[in-house]
Amino acid sequence: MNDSEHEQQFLSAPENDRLMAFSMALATELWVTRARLHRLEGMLQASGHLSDGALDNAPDDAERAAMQPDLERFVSGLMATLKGKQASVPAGDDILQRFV
Amino acid sequence: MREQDFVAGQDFLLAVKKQWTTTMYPALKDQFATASRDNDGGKDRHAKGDVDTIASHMETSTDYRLFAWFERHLQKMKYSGSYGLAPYHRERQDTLMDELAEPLTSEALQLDDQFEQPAYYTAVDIHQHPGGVWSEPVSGLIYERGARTTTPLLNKSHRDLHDRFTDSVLGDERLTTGAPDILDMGCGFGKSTRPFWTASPDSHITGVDLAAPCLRVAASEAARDGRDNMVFRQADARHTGCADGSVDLVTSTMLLHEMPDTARREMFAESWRVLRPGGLAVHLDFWLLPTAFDRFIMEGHSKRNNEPFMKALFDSDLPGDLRAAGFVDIDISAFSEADGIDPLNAPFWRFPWTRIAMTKPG
Repeated sequence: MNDSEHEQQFLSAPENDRLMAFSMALATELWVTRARLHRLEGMLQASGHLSDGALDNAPDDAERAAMQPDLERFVSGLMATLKGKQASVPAGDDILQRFV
Repeated sequence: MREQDFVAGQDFLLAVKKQWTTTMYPALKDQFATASRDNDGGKDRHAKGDVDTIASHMETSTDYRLFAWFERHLQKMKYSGSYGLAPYHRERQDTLMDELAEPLTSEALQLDDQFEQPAYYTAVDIHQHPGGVWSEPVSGLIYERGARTTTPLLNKSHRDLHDRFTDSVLGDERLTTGAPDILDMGCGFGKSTRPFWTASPDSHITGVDLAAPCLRVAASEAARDGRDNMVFRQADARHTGCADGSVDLVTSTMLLHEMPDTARREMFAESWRVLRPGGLAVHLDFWLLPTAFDRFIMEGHSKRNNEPFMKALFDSDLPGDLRAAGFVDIDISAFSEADGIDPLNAPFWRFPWTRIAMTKPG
C-alpha cells in the first residue's frame, strides 16, 4: 500500500498482470473501433452511400474464397501464441561452455 | 480524445464490470461455499471461519486472483486508461468549467483559498481517482461522472439509491419537523444533497465537504434547480462552522468509510454539537457484513479501490462510538439500494449498504 509506484499484483507473476492489462487495453480499442464502424455504417446508409443491410448479407463464395488465406493467417497467428513455443534457436544453458 | 470514442470506451468497461458483478462474483461465492461445505462435512454451505482463513484459501484460487485483478484494473482504466475520465475531462477543462452555473447568492458557495486539507485525505487517491477528488478544478466533474457507475447494476439510475435513502430519512418518525434544517456532511458534488433539496424544498440545507471542485459542482446544480436556500461550504466534517444546536437533521452518505477512526469519532461529536435536542442523525455507509466471506471481499475492495479506512470502519465498534458521542436510539440496519434486492443475501456483488440512525437526547 505504501508503494506509490508499482501496481498491486494479483496473478502468479508480475508479467501476467501486465499482459492482462495489455489485453484489456487492446480489447477496449477493439470495442471503440467497432462502435465507430457501427456508426460509420449507419451514416453511410443514411446518406445513401450504402444500401440498407448491404454489409449484413453473407458474402458470396468468391468473396469468401478471396478472404480465406487472410483468415487462416489470422487464426494461425492467434493460436500460435497459446503454444508457448520459441520461434528461434535458443541459447542453451551450455552455450558458454561450448564456445569458450 | 473524441467524444464517441470516450463514450464507447467507458461503455465497454461498464459492460465488463457488469459481467464481473453478475458472473465472476457469484462463481467465486459458489466456489467458496462448496469448499466450505466440503470442509464442514456438508453441514453448512455458508462461510465459516475468520477472514484470514478465507484469505489463505482464496488467494491460491485462480478465479479469485482474476476477480481481484479485474476489480483493480477496471477502476484504473475507468479513471486513467486511454479513454479514462481523467484525461477526457482534463482535455476539456476550460469548456466544462465555463458551463457550470453561478450560485444564485453570494452565500451559496463558501470556499476557502487557505483551506488546509487533512493529511489522511491527501495521502491516498481514493477510488483510484488520479489526484483525488480535490486537487484540480475539474476533479468534481470527474468524480460526478465516475459516480454514475459506482454501482454498476444501477447505472444511470444511481440516484435511486439516494432517493430511497432520503425517503427513509424524511419519513423517519423521530424527525418531528416538517421542513428540517439539514446539514449534509461530506456532500461531495451534491448527489446526496439533491434528493433532500428536491423532497424538502422549504428546508435550509448546508452541505460541507473538503473538496472545493466538488462543492462548485454541487452549488451549480442547486442554482440550476433554482434553490437559493442552500449553502455549500468548504469545511471539515469535524469543524463544520455550524452553530451549536442549529440543525434538526445531520446526514452523510458514503463518508464514514473515508475517515480514520479518530476523525470519524470527532465527526460524530461535531454532529452531536450542531444538532438541536431531539435531533436526528442518519448516515448511509458500509458496515453490516452478513458473512465472513462478505467481509473478506469488502476488505479486499478497501485495498483495491484505494479506500484504506473502509477496513477501519468494518473493524470499529460503531454502536460504541455513537454511544460515547452521546447518541441514543441507535438503529443500524441493512439497506436495500433498489426494489427486490435482499441486502443480506444478494446473488451478485454489491456494496453492504447500511443505514445508521441515532438521535440526540431531547
